[in-house]
This record gives sequence, structure tokens and C-alpha cells, in this order.
Amino acid sequence: MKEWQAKLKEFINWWREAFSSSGGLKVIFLKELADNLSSTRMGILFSLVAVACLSALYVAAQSIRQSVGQEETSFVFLRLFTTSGGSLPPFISFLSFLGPLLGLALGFDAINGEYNKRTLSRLLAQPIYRDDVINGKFLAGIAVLAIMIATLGLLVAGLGLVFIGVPPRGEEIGRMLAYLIVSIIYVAFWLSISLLFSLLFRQAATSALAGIAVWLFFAIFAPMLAGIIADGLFPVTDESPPELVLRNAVWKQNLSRLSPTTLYDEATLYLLNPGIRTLGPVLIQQVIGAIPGFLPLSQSLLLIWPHLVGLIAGTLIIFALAYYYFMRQEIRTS
Amino acid sequence: MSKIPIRPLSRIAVLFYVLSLLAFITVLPVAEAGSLLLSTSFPGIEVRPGETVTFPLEIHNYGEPQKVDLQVVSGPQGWSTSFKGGGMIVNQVFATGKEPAKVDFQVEVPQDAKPGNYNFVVRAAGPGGSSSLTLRLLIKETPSGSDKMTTQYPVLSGTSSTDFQFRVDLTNNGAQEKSYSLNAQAPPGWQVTFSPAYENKQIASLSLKPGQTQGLDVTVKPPQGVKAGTYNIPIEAVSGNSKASVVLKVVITGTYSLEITTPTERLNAEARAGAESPVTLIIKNTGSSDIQNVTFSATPPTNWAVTFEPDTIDVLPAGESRQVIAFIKPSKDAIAGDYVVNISANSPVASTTATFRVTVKTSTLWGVVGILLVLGVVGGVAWTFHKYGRR
Repeated sequence: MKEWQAKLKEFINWWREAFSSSGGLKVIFLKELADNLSSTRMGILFSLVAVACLSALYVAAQSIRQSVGQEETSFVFLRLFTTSGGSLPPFISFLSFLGPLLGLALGFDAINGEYNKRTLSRLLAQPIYRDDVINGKFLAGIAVLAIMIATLGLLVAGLGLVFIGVPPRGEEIGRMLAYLIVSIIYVAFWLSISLLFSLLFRQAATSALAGIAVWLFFAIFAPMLAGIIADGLFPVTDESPPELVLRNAVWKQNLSRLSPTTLYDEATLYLLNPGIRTLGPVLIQQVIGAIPGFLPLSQSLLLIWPHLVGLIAGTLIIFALAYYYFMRQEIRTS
Repeated sequence: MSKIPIRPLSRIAVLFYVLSLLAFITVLPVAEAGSLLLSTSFPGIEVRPGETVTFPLEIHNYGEPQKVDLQVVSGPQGWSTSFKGGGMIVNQVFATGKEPAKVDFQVEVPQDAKPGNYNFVVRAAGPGGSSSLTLRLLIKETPSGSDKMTTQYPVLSGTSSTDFQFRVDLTNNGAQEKSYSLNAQAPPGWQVTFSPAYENKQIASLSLKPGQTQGLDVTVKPPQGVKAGTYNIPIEAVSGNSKASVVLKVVITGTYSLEITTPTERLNAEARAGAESPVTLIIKNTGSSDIQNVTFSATPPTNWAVTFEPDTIDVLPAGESRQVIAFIKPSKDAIAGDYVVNISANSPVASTTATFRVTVKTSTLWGVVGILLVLGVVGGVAWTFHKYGRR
């Protein structure tokens, strides 16, 4: 017991010492931030995402204005994000689909780029710790992503106000902010993946392709694969007993929840549609006596909490892996 | 020969003549005293104090046409009388032989006239004779409370929420117009209102002419929560020192009704999935009779459990309420949101149902587990930093 306490004390002391005297982290962070914000790559990507999202907003606002008085008017502000009109998907779909690209683009050459330009050894020759480099790069990436997503979200909120003229209520603002935070976590997940790939692959192109492959797999193929596996395990026909159908549905959902994209999509649906109580299979006996209504924000947050935990944990674990690789890596170039 | 049979014949004839003459003398002394006859169709009539009555008199003249004086020979003191003819007060009438002369004899009965028989003797006298006629006025003995209040249906029955409508007839049997004030001696809390029949204005008094009858609607409204039983409601119409009254009866039959509410009167509750949460209910007997053996039941969604503490009320007196605690336990896998739970109180005589809106919240247990997981991961990352970080 004593030994364990002493170890903990030593651990805390180490942390305090490491971060109070970590001037290198700040330098790397600010430099990376400046580099990222001024890079053409980010400019192009951000413009792409912004144009897509803003057009989605415009179409959504149009269709909300047309359907005024015909549909439910509560939480009209949130419907700016979730309404699709005509051929354009809603804002949340765009962000869910294109958001990972932002994260991947920021990180795919973070380390191997430095390596290939032969600047890494020079950088490490400076009086900064080695882990400051990867920490600073990761934090700067998150900061840039946070700025972008907050900008987009607030832009949509502001323009939406102009378009529909209905001020949001406190709950709506809370839900929107929660949505933006979840989005930042989700994009940070992809940043950590691309950071890992930039360590695993020496070629920037390979790393980028690997990132895109993972992204496509999770975004498009994972739900299909989940369906195939569930159907393989529990084949369902028209005459199947209800238990089997239920099992199939539960497995399908749980397997597809292994994909961070599914987690993120479900979380945003819960957050932006207060009327949604569950996305899983619902037994008729659970619905008896239920009154359709809106959940308070706290309940919605409780519902998506597992999703959030999954996303945060995934991000941290992958970053920890990247950290481990980076610290063990041979830096000296041949 | 012929004389003998003639004599007795003539004697008989003479006797007959004399007899007939005598008879003429005795039978027609009035006619003989004059050739006048004073008559009226109804010489005796019944009157009320304060009334004015008229006797139509006829004067027959069997002799020469003559002037006839009219006078009241005798009559009770203080009664004013007059002869009227042609719209004027007259004291002479001219009687021709052809038709009887007509005169009205008017008598005003004083207000304070006592019951009894009153005789007037009126006389018509002319040069050719005179004639007298006795007129009789009868004032009947009348009871002091001469006014009458009657109702056909003096007993009505109904529940405590009924408005009872009585029809009462008020008759002024007095001799003059009277103003009545109406009132009722109802038990406390009872409302009694009067209104004229077929009218909907409420009145507190009314005025009736002698002999007039007025129908009255008496509306009796029992107080809320009145107990079952028979109630007497005497109502009366008072005018000066006379009054008329009738006792109306209302039979309240017992009603049985229950009500479920909560101390705050809000019919919603919160519960966590899989956990019991207490809801305080108030069971009220809103009927007018005691209710025995009240039990409780609930129709919650499937797999929910609702229990009651206590689960029976033996006797719930009328108008009283009791507290009952319902423990609502949503199903373990209830989805967060609002649900309808019907809670009903049942007794052999009455039952009621209240619909509750139960908001189910997700258990925070998994939230705590999630936080622990995140903390574990953060700790793991920190350990990685420590292990592989700067040395």
C-alpha cells in the first residue's frame, strides 16, 4: 500500500514538473497553429466544407420557411441543422461525411512530412523535449479543428437566425453547443488516426491513402458489413421468430456501433432531435403508454453518453499509440 | 118549486162571492195599499268587508203612472248607501204602468264590518201606494290567516347536486290587496329563491288583489357536500299580521363519488427506469355518503409495477380525504420519456381514474461507468506519457 502511494506521488510530481517547465510545447503549438491556419491545404478543405454546409443551411432554411405552420414548430432552430431540402442532404450529414477529411488532412503528414523534409532531427536538436513535438502537433490540430467547426456552427446559427427569424431558446443553444463539441471530438478522432498513420508510414501519400481508406471503410462499408455479419449469424426470413429478428437487429446495431462514424451519427441525431428517445430496436411493450414528447437535454446527454465515451476513449487510445510509436522511433535519418 | 133549488144555489153563490171578496181583501193588502211593488231578483247576498255591492231593484206599478219616492227605512249604522239610476244618484223614480222602473241600490260594506247578518229595508212610496223590501247582507266568518299557500308536490327528492323546483300557489283570501314578503327558513347553506311562475326573475315580495292566486316557483339549492337525509324547508308569505306558510321537504339521496388528486394537484411524476419512486395521492370522497372498502389499481405500461400504501381504505366518510402513496416502478428497460399511467380507486359503489404522466429518466449508472472508463483511458495515456515520455 505504502509503495503504491509513493508511486502515485512520484507520478504526480513528474506530471507537475513536466508541464510547468514545458516551454517547448507552447512553441510547437503556436508554430503548428500558424502553419495550419495559413496553409493552402486547409484553406481549400475548409472552403469545400463551408460551401457544402452553407448550401445545406440555405436549402434547410428555405424548406423550413415553406413548411411554416404545417409542421411542428418546436425546436425550429435545431431543424436548421437537420432539415434536408430537395437534393441536398442536411448540414449534419455534410459535417459527418466531410468532417473526417478535415482531421485526416491536418495529420496525415504531421510526422513523416517533417521526416521527409529532414527537419525532424533539426527540430529535435533544439532544446525541446521529444514528446512536446507530438503533443504540440496534436493540440494544435485540435485547436484548428475546433476553430473551424465552431466557426461553421456559429455561422450556420447566425445565418439561420437571419433566414428564419426565430431566436433559439436556451435548450436549443445548449444542444447546438453540445453538437459542436461532439463534432470536435469526432474530428479529433480522425486527427489522431492520421497522426498514427503519419508515424506508421514513411510516405505521406501512403499515410493519406490509408487514412482515406479507413474513413471510407467506417463511413460506408462498416454499416453494410455489420448487416452482413448479423445476417450471417442470425439469418432472418419472413417466418423467423420475433426473438431472432430482435437479436439480428441488436447485433446489427451493436456491430455498426464499432464504427466511430455510426457513434457520431447517432449522437448527433439524439442531440439535434429531442423527440428521439432511442435508435435501437423497440419492443411494442416498451411503447405502450408512452406519450410522444421531447426529452430534456440532460436525458439526451445521458443517452449519448456511451457514444461520447467511445469516441473520447478511441481518440485517446489511438493518440497514446501514436505517442508510444513516436517516442520509440528511430529519428536519425540514414 | 123552482125557488127551492135556486135558493140554496144562490146562497152558495153569495157565499162564494163573499168568500172570494174576503180573499181578495186579505190577499191583496199591499196591492191595495198602493199599486206599487218593489222587488229584486236576489234579495240576500254574501259580501266581504270593504266590498261594494249593488242590488238591482225593480218597481212595478199596477195603478196610475206616478212618481215614487225611494228611501232606506232602516239599515246598519255607518254603512253608506245610495240609489243609482241612469248614472246618477237618485231619490225618486217615475213608475209608468207598462214597464217596471229600474234602480240600483248600492251598498258599501265598511272595512271593519263584523261578520253577521245585516238587513236593509228600502221603501218605495208614491201617491198611489207604497212597497217595502228587506235586503239581507251576510258577512261570513273568515279565519284570521285567510291567505293560503298550497303546493301539489311538497316533497321532492334528488341528489345533492340537484336544484329542487317546487310550485307553490299563494292565494289572497283577504278583502283587500295585500303585499306579501316571501321568506324561507332553510337550514344553513341552503339557497331558496322565489320567482313567479313561468318567469325567471327572482322576487322577494309580491302584491296580490283580493281573491287572486299567484303561482310561485320556489327553487331550493342544497349546499355542496350535503349529507343524505330529509330536510324541511318552511317557506312563508308575510303580510302585516297575516301570514301563509307551507313546509317543503327535500329528500337528498346519497351519491357516491371519488376523486384522485395529489397534494400539488399536478398529475405528473418522475421515475427512474427500474427504480421505485413514490407519488403521494389524495383520495377524496366527493359524494354525500360514506364509501366503504376503497381499493386501488393501476394500468401502467408493460413490465411496470405500481403498488399502493395502504392498498385499501376501509371507510372513507363523505367529504373527507385520505393520503395514499403509490410506488411507481418503471420497467428496467423503459425508454426515457413520458408515459401514461392510469391510477384508479375502486369501491363497490363508485370508482374514479386519474391519468398520470410519468417521466422516465435513464439511470445515471451507465453515465458513471462511462466517466470511469474515460478516466481510466486518461490515466492510461498519462501512464504512457510517464513510461515513454521524457526520461
